[in-house]
Amino acid sequence: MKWFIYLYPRSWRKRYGDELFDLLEQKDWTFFMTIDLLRGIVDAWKIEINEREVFGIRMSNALLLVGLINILIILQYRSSQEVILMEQIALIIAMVSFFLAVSIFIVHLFKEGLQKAFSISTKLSKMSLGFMGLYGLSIIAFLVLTN
Amino acid sequence: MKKDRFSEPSLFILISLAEKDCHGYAIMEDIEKNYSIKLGAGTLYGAITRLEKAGYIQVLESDDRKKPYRLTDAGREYLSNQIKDIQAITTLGAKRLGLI
Repeated sequence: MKWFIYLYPRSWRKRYGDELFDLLEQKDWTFFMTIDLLRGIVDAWKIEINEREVFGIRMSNALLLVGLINILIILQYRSSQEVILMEQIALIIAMVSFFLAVSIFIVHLFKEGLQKAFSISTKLSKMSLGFMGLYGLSIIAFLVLTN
Repeated sequence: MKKDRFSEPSLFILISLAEKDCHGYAIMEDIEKNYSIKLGAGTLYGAITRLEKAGYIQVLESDDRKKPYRLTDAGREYLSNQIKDIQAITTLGAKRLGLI
């Protein structure tokens, strides 16, 4: 279960990883410990996202903006009475793939750094690009269906 | 300047370090012994991260994987102020309950 440490942001792991690993080795593994570690991982990412900047924009603000754009798109089409099942499916696929693409990109960015995150040489970047492509196709399908 | 507010575990960590320099595991043991609170590793290192970023504790160089932490002057001042605040609250509470 020590692999939980690898879920922490890279910079955090570099600074506290060895200490935490050492501490976990001295403790018996319990359910409480698992839950507590998961909370710690979320907390560490929260700190990381609040502090990190990409192109001068704070990461938390960028994520908030992306979220708001998605909510606006959903709200705009939610009230339409003519929305059929296929449109809804296309929209759901688009939203899920966009969320996955952004999440994978962020994880990749923290894990490998800026340069590698924008390359397509790694598995994660290919996955992120793939989901972004799926998002593009789904959103086009959605817009075509709604019109 | 905005006054930082830290959680209970952060205060326990500062109190542990007020006496002597300790590494993570020793802090955890001290808290468990004195307050009967089992602090998880995730919570402990979350609090340590915040306290270190705030400049209230500092890590001491060590060849060992266990790195000891030390309370800084700013940390000592912060802890003193926090304890005075807590003391004022408990005194008021005790007075109103007729305990003193």
